[in-house]
Amino acid sequence: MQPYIKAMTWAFWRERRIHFISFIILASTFSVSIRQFIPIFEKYKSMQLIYIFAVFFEIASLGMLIISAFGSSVMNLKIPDQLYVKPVSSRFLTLVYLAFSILSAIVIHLIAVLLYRFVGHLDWPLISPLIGFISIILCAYSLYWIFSDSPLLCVISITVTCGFIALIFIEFIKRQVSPSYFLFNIMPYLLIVDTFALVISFKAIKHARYGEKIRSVRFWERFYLKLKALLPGTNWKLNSPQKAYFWLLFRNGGFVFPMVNIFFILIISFVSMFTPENEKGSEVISGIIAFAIVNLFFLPIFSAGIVNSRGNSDGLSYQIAIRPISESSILKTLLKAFMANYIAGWIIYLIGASILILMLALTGNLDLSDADINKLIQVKSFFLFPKILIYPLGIWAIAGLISSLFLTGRNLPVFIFFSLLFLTPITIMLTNTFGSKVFNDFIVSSLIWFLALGGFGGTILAILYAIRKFLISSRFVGILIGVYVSFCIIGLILNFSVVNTPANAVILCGMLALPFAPFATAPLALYWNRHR
Amino acid sequence: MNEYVIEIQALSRRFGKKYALQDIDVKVPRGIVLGLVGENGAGKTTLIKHLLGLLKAQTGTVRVFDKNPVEDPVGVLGRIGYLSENREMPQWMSINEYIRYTKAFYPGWDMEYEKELISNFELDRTQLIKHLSRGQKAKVGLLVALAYKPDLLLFDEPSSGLDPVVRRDMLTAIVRTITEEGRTIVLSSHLLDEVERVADQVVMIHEGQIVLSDTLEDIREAHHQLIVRFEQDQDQKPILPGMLSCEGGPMEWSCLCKEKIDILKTAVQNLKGNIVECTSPSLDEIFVARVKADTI
Repeated sequence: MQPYIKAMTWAFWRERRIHFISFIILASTFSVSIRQFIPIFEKYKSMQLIYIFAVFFEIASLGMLIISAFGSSVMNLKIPDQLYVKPVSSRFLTLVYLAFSILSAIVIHLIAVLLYRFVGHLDWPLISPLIGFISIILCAYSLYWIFSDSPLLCVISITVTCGFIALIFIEFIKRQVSPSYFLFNIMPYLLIVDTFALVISFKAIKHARYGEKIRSVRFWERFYLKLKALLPGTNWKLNSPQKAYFWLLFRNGGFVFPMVNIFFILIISFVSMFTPENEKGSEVISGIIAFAIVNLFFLPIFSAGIVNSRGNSDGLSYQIAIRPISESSILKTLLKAFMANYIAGWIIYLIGASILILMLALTGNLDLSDADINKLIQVKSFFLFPKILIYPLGIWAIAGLISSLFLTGRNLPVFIFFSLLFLTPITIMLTNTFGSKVFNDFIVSSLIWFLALGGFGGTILAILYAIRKFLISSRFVGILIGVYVSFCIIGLILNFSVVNTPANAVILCGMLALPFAPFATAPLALYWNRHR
Repeated sequence: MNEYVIEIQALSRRFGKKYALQDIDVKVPRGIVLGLVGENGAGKTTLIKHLLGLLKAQTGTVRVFDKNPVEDPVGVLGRIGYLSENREMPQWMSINEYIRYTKAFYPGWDMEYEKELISNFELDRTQLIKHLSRGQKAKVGLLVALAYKPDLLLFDEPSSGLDPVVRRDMLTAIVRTITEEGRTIVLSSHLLDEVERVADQVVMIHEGQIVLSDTLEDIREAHHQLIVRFEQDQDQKPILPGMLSCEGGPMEWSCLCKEKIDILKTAVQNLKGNIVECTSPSLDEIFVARVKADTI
């Protein structure tokens, strides 16, 4: 291998390592969690939901790679400037970077597939998602380059393209066509899309290398700026540091979550277009439920990550680190921005879902039979909502811990520590909720024990350290302990029939400790990041 | 009131095995311009980050306005204006948005001064930051660092990569700030002529250690650039007291020494040579000699 290719490979992976690690953690969690749904899907013969999840998962991995580039200070292209000045052709650069991206996506995909197969024993059509992946990445890359100066347009166009290509896959999977059918009927279209995307990529990178813009960018840029001028927020009176910082955070990444949910709604709409009339109602409602679950689990993670993504490479951004604002104000503002993003995402989702249901009703497709309604109600996932909402602190735990994780920046041991803390509630919550058989397996139960005690011990350690550093007051800790003990007592009484052994009691108490961890870990992470 | 704005005692900082700062002692009185000079990687930015509280002292103490910037960031940062070499600004904001954003953090923001700086720097408020040139970005950075009239200004390579016109504009703004009562400036720069023009006191850092710390006047008085001529060829460099560098030969040598002139004259006479010329070296020459010197 040529030395400069080695250097480029190293730089590419090194720059995105946090995203890769994060995604592998997500992939593992996803693989474990989707396993829990299989019996339900099999029972009600609605295996397509798994594929919707799978498509979401793959698109999300692509999104992760693309979003990772949004964090760079120079919006123009992901290729670093120093490579442009090297004696290599633009075409070569395009090919190498596309190859890296495709390879990365395949690696992440394979890890998830292997985990999925390991826990799920499900036949997985490996080759078709990989081919689709290549198409999606090529398209997304070229669109990204074209609209590199207009992030909003970039996200919309990529979302629509990804949705369109995902649709082909859903259709392919739903009809259970043979690989040869796929090769002869769908592959040519994908190849045309790929070729077109590749041509645009070459053109875009050539222009970018010489600091020019493709003509269409100017048009879209003007359009985008006009649109932006209409948006609220530009005339806000900024009279407090918290408000100013909130505005900075929200304007930076606030559009992402509504976009994610528009994408969900689009997928459901596309799926319903290809569903027979008599199944359309239940199909759409199932889709809405499935993506609501995805929202519930993943939106806090994404919003926490994106709210903090600006400062995770080298401590906090200078824009906030050098300003006279206290750590507690920064933390409160981060939390507010995260909540605003989270709520904005849900509002868009609910509006979209309502429109879909209204359309179903207007077209007479919401005529669900008693059997359909029974089927929907009896789906275990339908009851997952209230079950999870009983633990609203669970969402706080995940979001808070992920915020801490992103705030730790380059501090790898702390990153791993918080990752373990984060994995604990997810694993335990899912295992407990679904009562999986794996819970009885000795190795898995030992691992869960380890994680539960790790979470419990880690929380106590974090709180002790935060007290020592005067980041949280002892009075506040006293209140936390009081609430925690009450939680444990109530939890143990209410779940007496389940928590009938000391081991289960410890696991429950360990799980209940986790929502309290962010109270210590987030201030700690912020403190470490601001004063390294 | 403490007469020192900055007090650093026995400060050390290590990144991995490498010391970025080692046993640093600096005291900066109110109302002066301190020039912080040193080669790349000497530890200047690390020192400034300690003053901002972005890095925590591993050993030693850092006090700014008699406060610890790590323990009281609000109290310290509210009185500091900072301009970094990288000029990290949100690219998507317009100049006006960026000013409004920054203004929100500083209750003492001077609107009149802001307008004056906008006009002096010829900036268009509606322009997006991502469309600004390097020089314009530097001006915007300087504007938001000056407009609230902070008591202490930290400039980390403020004019690196800028053309002479922009540098002149920036220096004018800095000089104006100096003239305002009681303000203190720490100016870290590679451009030693720039430092020489405005600094009262100079701290020279080499490999994380202070190798020179004095007022500019005393530094100039203490260093001498001599041209020494000998009657016979010299195989080796002449050894003079406080010698930092010596080039030339075999009969005529140019030496830079930190010693009193009388002592140097006697030393040259003892070596049977004559001082042909004695000048005051520039800060640039002293810096190069210091860095190259094997023994300090």
